[in-house]
This record gives sequence, C-alpha cells and structure tokens, in this order.
Amino acid sequence: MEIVTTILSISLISVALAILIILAERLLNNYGDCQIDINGGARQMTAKGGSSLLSTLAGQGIFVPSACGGKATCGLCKVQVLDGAGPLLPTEEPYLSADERQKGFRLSCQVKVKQNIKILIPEELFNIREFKTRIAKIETLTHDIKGLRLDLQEPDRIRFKAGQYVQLYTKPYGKVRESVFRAYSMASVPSDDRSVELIVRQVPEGICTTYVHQELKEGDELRISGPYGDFYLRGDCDELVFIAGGSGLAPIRSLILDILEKQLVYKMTFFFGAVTLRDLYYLDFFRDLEKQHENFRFVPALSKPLPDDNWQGETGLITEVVNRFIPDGKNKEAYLCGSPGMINACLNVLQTKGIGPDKIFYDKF
Amino acid sequence: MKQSPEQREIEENLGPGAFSADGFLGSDPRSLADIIRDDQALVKSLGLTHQAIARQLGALTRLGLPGLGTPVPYGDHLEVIVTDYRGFIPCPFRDNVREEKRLTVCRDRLTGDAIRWTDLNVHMIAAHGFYEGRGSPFRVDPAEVQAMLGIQPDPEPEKTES
Amino acid sequence: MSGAPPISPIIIFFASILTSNMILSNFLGMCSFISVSNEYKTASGLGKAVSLVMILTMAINYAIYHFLVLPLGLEYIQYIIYIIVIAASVQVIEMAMDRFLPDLYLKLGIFLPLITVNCAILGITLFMVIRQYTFLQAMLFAAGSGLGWWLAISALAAIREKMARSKLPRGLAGPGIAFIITGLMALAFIGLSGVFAVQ
Repeated sequence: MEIVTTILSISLISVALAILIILAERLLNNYGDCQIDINGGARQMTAKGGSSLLSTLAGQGIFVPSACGGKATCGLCKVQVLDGAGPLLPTEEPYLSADERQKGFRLSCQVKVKQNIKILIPEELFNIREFKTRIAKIETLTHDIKGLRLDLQEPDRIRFKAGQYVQLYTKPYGKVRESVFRAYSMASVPSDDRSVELIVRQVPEGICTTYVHQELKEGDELRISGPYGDFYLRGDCDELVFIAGGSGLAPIRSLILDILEKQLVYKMTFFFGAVTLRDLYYLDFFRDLEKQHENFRFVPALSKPLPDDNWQGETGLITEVVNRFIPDGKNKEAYLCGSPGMINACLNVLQTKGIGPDKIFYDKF
Repeated sequence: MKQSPEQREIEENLGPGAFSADGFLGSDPRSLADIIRDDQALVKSLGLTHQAIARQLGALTRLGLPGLGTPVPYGDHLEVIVTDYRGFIPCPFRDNVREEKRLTVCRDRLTGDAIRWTDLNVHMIAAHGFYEGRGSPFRVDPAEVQAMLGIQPDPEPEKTES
Repeated sequence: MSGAPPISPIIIFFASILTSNMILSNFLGMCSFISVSNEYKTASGLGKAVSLVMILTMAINYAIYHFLVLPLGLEYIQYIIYIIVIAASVQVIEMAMDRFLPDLYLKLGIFLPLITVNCAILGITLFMVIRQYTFLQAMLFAAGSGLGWWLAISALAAIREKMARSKLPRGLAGPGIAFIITGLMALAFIGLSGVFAVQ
C-alpha cells in the first residue's frame, strides 16, 4: 500500500511541477505581439516578439543594411531606438560612440524585440527591397573568383547608384543549418536594371562564399536585397582615380561603365592590382574600353609576376604603381575597393599625394 | 551535466556551419576542454607558452603585411605571405573580440613546407589556448610551428596574483 | 516532534539574517558563494536569485509538508520531493531571468542552475520541518535566510573587489583568501549572537 502512495504522490507532484514549468515557459518565453512604431508614427506594424530588431524589420519588408549577417562585426545596422530597447549589450558597445548612445542608437542585430518599440530610420531604407532572382550565368573568373549574373524576377527591376551593394541570402547547405547573408557590390550598371552582376571571391572557410562557389548552379533561385551603401560617385572634381584588387573590381566596374554611359566628363585612371597573372580578370574588357575612350586609362599591375606570365604591364606593389602614375592630388577623387591591407596602403599613398581623406571613398566594413 | 548557456553557445559556435564553413573542431572526437588541455601539455613540453607562440605568429603577420600578398623574406630560408579579405570574423568564444580576415602563410623556401594561421587563430591561442581541433583546416599545431620557427621561450615572469 | 517554537516571526526574520546567517553561522550554500563572489554586481544578482528561490520553494514545500507528507506519512521520501520542487522552481526563475534580466542570466552562467544543489535552499526547508515552523514563521525564515545569504555574498564580493589589486601570497589568491575572509566575517557575526537565538 505504501508503495502505491509513494508512487502516486511523487507522480502527482512531478506532474504539478511540470505543468508549472510549462505555464511559466508559455508566459515568460512568449513575447507576444509587439508594436513597432517607425519615424514617429509614419509607419506602424505589429510583429511577433522574440527576434532581433534587424530580422523582425526584415520580416516586415524593411531592410536595414548588414554586411556581416547579424553577427555584430560590421556595425552597419545602427538604428535609433527611442523607446523599448532594453539595456545596452556588451556586443554593441564597440560600435556606438557616446554621442550615438545618448541619441539612442543601437545595433539592430543585437536588440531583441520584447515589447513595443519606437524607432527612427532614414527614409532611404524604405527604398530597399527584397528580390527573387534566378541565376542566369556563373562565370569562373579566376581560381578563387566567380562572377554571377542574376536575372531579377520579382520585383523585376532594381534602382541603384553605381557602386552600391546588395545582400545575398544563402540557404542551408551541407553542415550549415541556417540561412546567412553577406554583402556584395554590384558590378553591373544601373541602366542594366533587370539584372544584377556580382563578383564573389572565395574566402577560406567562408560560409557564404563557399555556398556561392560550391552550391549554386545556373538556373537556381537566389534571394537578394538592396541597394545599400554609401559608395557612389560624388564627382566634385576633374579627375577620378580608381583602385581595386580581387573582387573589389565589382563596384569600380559599375562606376566606370556608368560614367562612360552617361558621358560624364572626367579623366579616369583605373589601377587593378594583383600578385600574379592568375589573379587578374576582365583584362581584355578593360583594355578594349581604354581603346574606345580617350579619357579612360587602364593600369593593371602585378607585384610579383611569374616568368610564365610574360607580363608586359606595370610591375610592383599597387602603391608603388599608383605613386608613379599620379603626380599630385589636384582636383581628384579616389575610389577604392579591395582587401583592407590594400586599402590602408593606398590611403597612405593617396594622402601623401595630397588627396584629402574627404576625397577618398571606400566601403568601411 | 547541464551546461551553462555560454558554454553551450561556444561549442555551437565552434561547430561547422556557425562561424566557419567546416568549423574549428575538425574531425576531433575529443571535447573542447580536452583539446585545450592536450595542447596546453604539448606547448608546455616544447618549453613554450601560448603567449610566446601568439606573439611570434603576430610578429610574422606584421612583417608580411606590407607585402600585400607578395612573399616577404624572413630569416635565412623562410618567407611570409599575407592575404586579407574584407570583413571581420567574431571570436566564437563570445568575448566580444572580432578579428580581420587575414591569412598568413610561412613557407620554407628550401623544403617547401608551410604553416599557416589567421588573425583569429592568433587571438584564440593567446586568449583561450585554443589551437583548433585535429582535422580542422586551420589547426595550428604547436609542434609544427616550433619546428619551423624555433621560438625562444619567454623568461620566467614575476608572479603575483593569479 | 514538538509543536512550533514560541518565537515571533519577526525575530526569526532578523535572526536568520544576523545571528543564524546561512553562510556565516551555518556554513550552508558555500560553493556558489565562493565562486561567484569576485564581482559585486554578479554576486548581488545571485543573492537576489537565491532569495527568490528560497521564498518560492519554502511556500511550496510548506504546503507539501502539511498537506501531503504529514497526512500520508511520506516522511521517508520527503527529501526527494523537496529537491524536485527546488529543481522546478529554479527552472522557472531561470526563465524569468532570461526574460527580464538577460545580462545577469548570461553572467551567472552555470551558477544559476547550480542553485538547485545549493544546500542552503534544502537546508531552510529541512529546518522548517525540524523546528515545526508555522506558515508565517516559515515564510519570514525563508525571506530572512535569503536576505542573509545575499548580505553575506555581497559583503564578500565588495571586500574582494576592494582587494582586487592587493598583492597576495601566490597560493591564496581566489578561493583561499575568500575562505579566510568568510571566516573573519563569521567571527564578527558571532559577536551578534547574544542578541537573539533561534537555534
């Protein structure tokens, strides 16, 4: 008899406690519906709480830029939160100045939507759209760089400034269980508005670049969003200096073609640097362009050409080549795209030539 | 045993598909704690410390930086090549550190042997004693590093509080 | 067992903070006490969590003791029942913390679920059983014990933070000096024991 009472009472208590825990979880982990108030009531939406502000907004069709896919390493997703964000997280601290913190700026990829929240976002963000695309062409440009041409399906047109970038969304593949997204500059011109061209370089162990290089096939569907970015032509000068390395050629190509198309009057020099010949691509394309346009000069440079390369062009580090060709900083603007090392080195050279930091442009992430 | 949420997240971050395509643990069957402990013993048997190794690797990276991808000679027969990529990778140990995506290769011109490491490797070695698991594409093996670079051990530091 | 002791609940409350402090007089709940006491904010947070768990579990365990254990004669498994209740309460408190205080939740890490095996929590329930407290006595005892634990760990953390830059003999840094400080605090609290005694 005792055994029965023992078993019954322990079971009863366990069941009662289990119910308590389930109820608590329902109550505490479920954030319910939260009201998001944007720009002082200009837009209002209701969304289920519990996710980051970045993804909640994206789910509602508002795309805040993020180059790193929400990992708090790029600092691009800043949003001004007037109310409802909760305490500042340690992951946000490195990206927000004291002034920004006072104004309520937060990293939207780190802020969790748990209650009604009021935010302010710049108007331009409302122009950013999500696109369904189909891969029309995948071209192998070098041993670690591929070019993609995406045909836009829905919406079927994109409006952007030459130099801007899009975010590319992967699907789970192999051991990667989640969808991630990363930023890639558009290599196509704005007038080519029914397609988007991208140039993607394989990063060792990169989740997104491995997806692009190994998983995607022509004909596949791919989701992108855009346009984003502050990298576009200012043009308050007579002469433009373009410097690119690796996949950084993408936005530069877009800028150059756009300028030539619109017949804007600038003297342009494009420096394209690599170590050996196998890392260069589109050489014929740009050489032809040079032949057709008097105001465009193409300067490919190799820092350590192999004998088999039979290289007749400029040699030396890109900084040395730029140094040789650019006499001074008068009336010039510079647009850079490439690896951080290349950009830092070129910044130094350009500044010694007298091109001020306000006249040098590059994507800062 | 129940893991703290932090530990759970770190182990997830180190697995494949989270921060890096193949992850940081490779095909290693050991737990994270065992990997760190075994490498700690290996480093000690070589007469070195994590700091000494990290310092030397970092110094070589800085040496190779101005080369912008071209080989920079080091010593009699070694050369260093540094390649970098745009963007940052956060440290999977959730310590709010992010590193640039920079790869350094140190090659022996005579034998053709090479060792390689990333800025993230250097941080994880210095801050967490983590050299990545066996089979991981970016495992930095302390023995291989020592064989190629011949790092001098640090002098005994003055110890006060632990 | 005799009936409830004829002590006012208010006295029990103050006694459990000062003269029968869980840590300093009974030395219960030492492991998280020593490990989490290097930073004041975290220690204080843990102290509050422990207090909450103590109050919650005392209420539930009191009900179980009087309405289940005594009538059905389940004294032989009462310890198991109390532990199950404590485990469940800690789960609920963990969830609440994750929701309302995520920063603290992450900082406490493994020590939040470790509250389950904090012997101070089981201790107060068993004291309630042994001393046959009434409901009011039991609740104030739980509240006082929680506050006392909180007081002790906050004091230790404050002292350790202040000492963070002092030079200590190599072996004593960390748990070593924490135990010594705790011992000194316990000695100091013995001085209060004449005020009122409940054990």
